[in-house]
Amino acid sequence: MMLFILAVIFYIVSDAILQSNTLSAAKPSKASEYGQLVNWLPDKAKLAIEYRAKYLDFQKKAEIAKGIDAKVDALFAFADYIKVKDPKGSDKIMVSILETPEYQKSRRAYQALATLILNSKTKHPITIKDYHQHIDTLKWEEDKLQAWAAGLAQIQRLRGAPRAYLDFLAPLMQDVKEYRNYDRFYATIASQSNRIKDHETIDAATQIREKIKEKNISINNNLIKAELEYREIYSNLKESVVKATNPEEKNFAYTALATHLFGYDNLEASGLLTTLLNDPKCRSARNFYIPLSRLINERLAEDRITIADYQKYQSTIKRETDKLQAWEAGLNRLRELKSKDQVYVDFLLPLLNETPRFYDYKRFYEMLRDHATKCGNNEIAQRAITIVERMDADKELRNLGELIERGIIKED
Amino acid sequence: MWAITELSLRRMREYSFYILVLVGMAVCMLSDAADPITGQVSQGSLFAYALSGEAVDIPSITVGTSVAMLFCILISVFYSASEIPSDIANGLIMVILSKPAGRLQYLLGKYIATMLMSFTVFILIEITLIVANRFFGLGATQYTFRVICRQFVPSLMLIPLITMTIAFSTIGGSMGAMLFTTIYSLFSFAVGFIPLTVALFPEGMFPGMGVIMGFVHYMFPNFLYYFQDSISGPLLLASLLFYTLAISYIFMFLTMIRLKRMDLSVSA
Repeated sequence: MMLFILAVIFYIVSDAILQSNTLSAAKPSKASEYGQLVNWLPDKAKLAIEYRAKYLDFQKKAEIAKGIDAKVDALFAFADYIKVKDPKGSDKIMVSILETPEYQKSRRAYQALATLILNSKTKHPITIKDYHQHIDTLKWEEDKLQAWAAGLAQIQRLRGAPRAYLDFLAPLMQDVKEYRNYDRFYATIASQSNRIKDHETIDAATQIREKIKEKNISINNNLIKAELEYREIYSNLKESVVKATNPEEKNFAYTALATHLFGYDNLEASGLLTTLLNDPKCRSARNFYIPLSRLINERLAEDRITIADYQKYQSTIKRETDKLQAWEAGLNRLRELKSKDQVYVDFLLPLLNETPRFYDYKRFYEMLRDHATKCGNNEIAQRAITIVERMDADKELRNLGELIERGIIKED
Repeated sequence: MWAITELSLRRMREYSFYILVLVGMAVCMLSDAADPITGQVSQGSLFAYALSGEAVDIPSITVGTSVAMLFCILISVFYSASEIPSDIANGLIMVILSKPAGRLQYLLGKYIATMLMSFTVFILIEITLIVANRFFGLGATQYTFRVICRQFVPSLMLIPLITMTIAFSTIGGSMGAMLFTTIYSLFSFAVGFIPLTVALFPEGMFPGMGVIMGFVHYMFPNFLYYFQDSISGPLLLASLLFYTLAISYIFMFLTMIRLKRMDLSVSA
């Protein structure tokens, strides 16, 4: 009997170990993968399980979402998912977004509000005018664009008459948006006006379309698809830009914002860095290497700079700390760009003409040695090796920080 | 006990058995050209999670081994289901028990005989697969030492399976044992998926499943463990071995109780 009890204990313990190993790999799936998990089941069962799993997933995301925008976004996603199987439940959520003042102010509320435009099936339909008022409260261009698109989709779903389309899109004729993304709205205005033979509006819309074509600017797709946090970070960085008063702070804050903007709004990003380049105070600031390094080989910027330009600037830096940090900043930029070995060699090459005064520089010479070896430039590699060996042998060589701490080097 | 083992093994010496083993070898060799078993299941499916587990650098079970396992499962279930009931039916059990051998020795003899036979067949098939791969270039997987070692892990499953079938044979006879074992094994495979399913789906998907699972899942051995790629390393392999021995002992214990209470003369 004792052996039997022992066997049961062994069974439970070993099963727990094996089970935890199995479950360690079982990370909760993404909503899109639930169907895949049970694709061996008959279609009906598979769809039922998939629906239930996604339902719970959306519900949980809506419950745990932090921040108003994220909450509204998650609530809409949940309501949108259940709208076919549970139209009443879906409508309740959509209306709750409209009726909760803080939700209604959210930049993502347009998604829910659009579904309520002239909707006879909802408990709380809204008018086109209400929706226009909501669009006016939106701050960012990408949100406005999305709101117009969501509203138009609702009018299309309702199979509205030409007048409904024209009423809905009317504000765009007053406040003209000359982005390529808006072309389709003006195309809709033209086509719907054509249905009611409103030649004046057709001509006006056609003229705007021509202007859009001529200007050829658009709201970046990355900006439209950006994560919700993108604008939060933007706002924080923008605040830093406003608060920045002295040139050092400006160099730092403007570059941080520009870095955040590149890929989303290149015009604004580029403009910020150009402002710094054109400001003599910022140019002479100690940390001018920050915006300058950010511009190294930046294809998205108007004032792109080359490695040679950066090296020229480096040669003018007087303070040792700034010199060292300028090297670091330049190398970080090359890392960001995933530069080739030859680019690193070109960047670090001026170091061979200098006698290293601080031990901190050893890693730059080591990098030069490694990259030169990789691109087969043995002469440069050998020269870098010699300097590294000399630095190792020199017992007097110290880190810059240590010398400043000891008061041997004094820097403000 | 060894005499009982030998006697049982002698009874298996039939031409049809040898032909069956040869057919099994040929089938396994031909099927081994397919990709390893974990490559057969689509990524992201429940089976993929159950078999592959966490990404590990472990060789997969080949299709040849899987077919060999299937073959050995059939043979071992068939033999372990019929050994004791046939001894009871023809009165041999009474003859054996009249010798200086107790019921425990008799039972152990039967276990050892069936296991020896099943593992011998499995090893023979594996040798055939290795030889076919090494010398004739057959099969989709290169049989390195690691791959060979890996192929023997699933065969551990035969131990609880045999003890389980023998236990059922003392209750339901040979046909009943085969039927019970099949149903019980299928349930075991299905139950093995429950914890994984619960973990992969969102919370609240299966309300109350935690409590039910805690009770039900201990009632069935989890055969999935024997096929998981993630079972590697000393701790997990040792756990699998202890798991196997523990289940086998539990079934052996229950069989022994049953055998002690059985009126063998009446049955005969």
